[in-house]
Amino acid sequence: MLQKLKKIIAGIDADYADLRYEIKTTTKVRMSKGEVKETTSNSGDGFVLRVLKNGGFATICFTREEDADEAIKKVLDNAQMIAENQDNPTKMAAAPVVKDSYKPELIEDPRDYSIEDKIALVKHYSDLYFTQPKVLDASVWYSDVIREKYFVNSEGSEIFEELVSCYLEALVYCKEGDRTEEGYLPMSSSNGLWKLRNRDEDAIKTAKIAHDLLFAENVKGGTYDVILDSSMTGIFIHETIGHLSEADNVENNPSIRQKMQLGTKLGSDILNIIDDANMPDQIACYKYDDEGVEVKRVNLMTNGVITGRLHNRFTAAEFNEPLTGHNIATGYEYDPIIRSGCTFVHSGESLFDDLLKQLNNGLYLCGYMSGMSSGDDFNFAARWGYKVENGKITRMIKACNMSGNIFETLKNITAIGNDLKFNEVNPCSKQQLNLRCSEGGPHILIKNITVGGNV
Amino acid sequence: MEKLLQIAKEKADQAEIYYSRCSDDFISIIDSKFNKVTSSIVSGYALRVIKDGKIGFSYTRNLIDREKLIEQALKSAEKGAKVEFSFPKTTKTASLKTYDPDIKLVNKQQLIKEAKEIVQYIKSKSTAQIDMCFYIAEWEKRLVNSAGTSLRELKSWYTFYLSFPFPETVSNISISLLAKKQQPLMDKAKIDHLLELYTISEKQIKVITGKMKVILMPEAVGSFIGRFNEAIHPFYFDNKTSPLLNKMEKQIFSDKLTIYQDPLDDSNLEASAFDGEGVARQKTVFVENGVLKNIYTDLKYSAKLNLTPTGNGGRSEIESSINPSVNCYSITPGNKSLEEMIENIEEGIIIYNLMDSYSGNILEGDYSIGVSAAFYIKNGKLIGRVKDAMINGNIYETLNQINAIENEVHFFGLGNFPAISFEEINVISSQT
Repeated sequence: MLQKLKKIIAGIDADYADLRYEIKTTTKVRMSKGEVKETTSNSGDGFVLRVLKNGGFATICFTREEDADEAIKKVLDNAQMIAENQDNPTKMAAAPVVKDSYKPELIEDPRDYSIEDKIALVKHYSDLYFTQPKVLDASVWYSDVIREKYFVNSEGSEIFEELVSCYLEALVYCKEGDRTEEGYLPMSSSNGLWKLRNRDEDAIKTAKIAHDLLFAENVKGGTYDVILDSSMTGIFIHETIGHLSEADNVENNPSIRQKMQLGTKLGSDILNIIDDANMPDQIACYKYDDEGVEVKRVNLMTNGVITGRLHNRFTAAEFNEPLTGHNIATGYEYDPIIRSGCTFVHSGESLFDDLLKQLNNGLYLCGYMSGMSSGDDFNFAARWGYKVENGKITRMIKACNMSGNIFETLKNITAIGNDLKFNEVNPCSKQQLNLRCSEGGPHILIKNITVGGNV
Repeated sequence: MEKLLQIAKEKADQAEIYYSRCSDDFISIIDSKFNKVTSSIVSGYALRVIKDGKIGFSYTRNLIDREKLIEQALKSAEKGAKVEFSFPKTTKTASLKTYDPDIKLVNKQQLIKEAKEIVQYIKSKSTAQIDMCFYIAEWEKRLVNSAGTSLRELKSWYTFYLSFPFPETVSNISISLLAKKQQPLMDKAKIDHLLELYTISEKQIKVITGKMKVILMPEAVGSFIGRFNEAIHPFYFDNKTSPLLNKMEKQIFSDKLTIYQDPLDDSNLEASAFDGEGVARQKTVFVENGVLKNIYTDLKYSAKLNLTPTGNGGRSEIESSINPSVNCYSITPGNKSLEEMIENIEEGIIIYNLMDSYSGNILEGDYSIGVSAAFYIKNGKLIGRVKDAMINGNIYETLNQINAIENEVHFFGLGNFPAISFEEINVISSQT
């Protein structure tokens, strides 16, 4: 395949070209109401071609090899159009020529298991849910995705990489009277099926949360000191410093670029944030990004100071900073964009009980549901939470949102737990839905957060 | 397709083939600079079979091995769900103008010239950052099945977005042009109005937590309709978790509110004559004067719930199985202009965009959402941008407190919505 790709780009009249061909094979099993609703196993494939000509950059995705000539003509015309209408030509940072074939080491390769085995795994969790109190229904779905990626560029790189992702998620519904509450269980792995097994405790906890939410109270809206659990810490960091560290997000926004200069103090002294897509058991793990650059661990924030940024070859040239290997596509349908890998807050020293004592009165917010930031403000949703009174967890509260200014809040992180954990599924929706990103952190204590609720 | 259908029919009791092809260009201009063009030419086939009362699904981007595609669908059916429906014989669908052949004649030099003129016009009046993008696309979709259905539809889009991000943020205010072929871009009145909002946004206001009058602009209304959309999804009627389960023909919202879908209104770019499983689409009223009238269904849930299919079998991409969905919501306009609605507010806020709508117990209609682009209204005038605030409540309470509905609708994402003014909504900020 690599030879075929080299032949296609050999005749392209451009200063730079790269071509990625990818086969994506997906197996799915879905159950609800205790019954199998879907089992499928299919493959799709396609090409992504990128060219740089006279400083103009354009990309095209196409799914049929016979469309290659039309695609080449279109992408070259578009690159020329950009070249003729931009003030400054687009430049690429130099990158090493790589010739490599890489497959991850797997513990329980999903391809070694039959569809019956996968149905049994889903059924195990589904059956477990129906033994829990007040459970009316549970949707449990499994998928494994095998991506075989072939990459060549006009500089001579030739790379094959295989990515193997396994997911098992569940939504469990509990009902009391007219009110329904749900619990969500996410599991994922990029090094085999093993991580989806023996998680009964997590599954039962999900059902218990849905059950307890039926009897939880609404929080009163206002300003609180809060402890975030690791999933909320993770989403907070992903949506704030994670996205602000993606160079394409700041490159063309002069005011945000000014604020995010390396060396700027933005967080509290105890805050250290890292992006590391090299951890084999995290879903964001990969070796090469989708422009053939090896991924690097990056210290994004050190003692509250911005110390690193995530790049593709274009932004690395624009910012004159080192390559990091973060240009990622979700699949063969997309050209790559800069994406954080696994972004996390480094563990601190505090025990959870110490955090509760320091909080004294406030809220403990748990179970990320979603999040978004706008460059300066953020808004994150917790699936549930608890009141903390006199340093003790007391009553449960229903789902609520927290919001604030990113830069004020980063300075208001006053204590960090010693219990780092990672989120397993966070479908980041920056332009293209990416299931292979993750984030994490320990419990953290933040002062003065606005929490949505009744007034 | 016909050959594939023929082979599939021989091996399964029923078969259905869906084909789609799309060719598009996305041109981005960020901070007035031409950035890049992203294009695609993608196609693919999806196959569904029913065998021994069970349904199976497969897909491919390249139809090289028909036998393999059929085998995958049959294997899927072996362990698949039992179904109580048949693929329909659809012989008549509405004739819609969803495609303009002139889309093939898009002149990119003209497009660039007009974009540059807009940049020049705005720069002569403001220092606002200017972001623009164009999306130009044409699609073909076809569906054939063993019952004799054979349908084809073409679509074309020529869309343009202009936005001004507020300083130090990606929150923005925007205007759009949505058409089926190339159109002149410059609408000075709309651009001037956007610039006026941008100027007002330069003054930032922190509101004090409390209940206040709120106007939701169409995109923000969509967040509320998204929650209603979840509650009338047939999945939640089938598993009996919807809060609207026993509310049919009952008053659930203010009698000022009528919500429907009209996929046959071809002024809407999302219009189409048939859904992803070949059922003719139709106008369906969900809420009439506040009374719940219907939910939407696909073939599977129609059979399960003993309802007539509403043509809502959604198919987002070749790789996706059918999921019931609505993409052409409409709210019947009211009798007040937006200007009148604003003039009638002594103190309150108007919200253009919300941030992170996917929060709270969505199925139950709870919302707890941050504001992204919002303005403070004092004595009937917008006086500054509201920062760092959230709205909180439940749509089944809030949509019963409607003051007024705008007398025109505006298309965005989920459908055509007017602005809606509310008597009071919980607004939470860091100021108490």
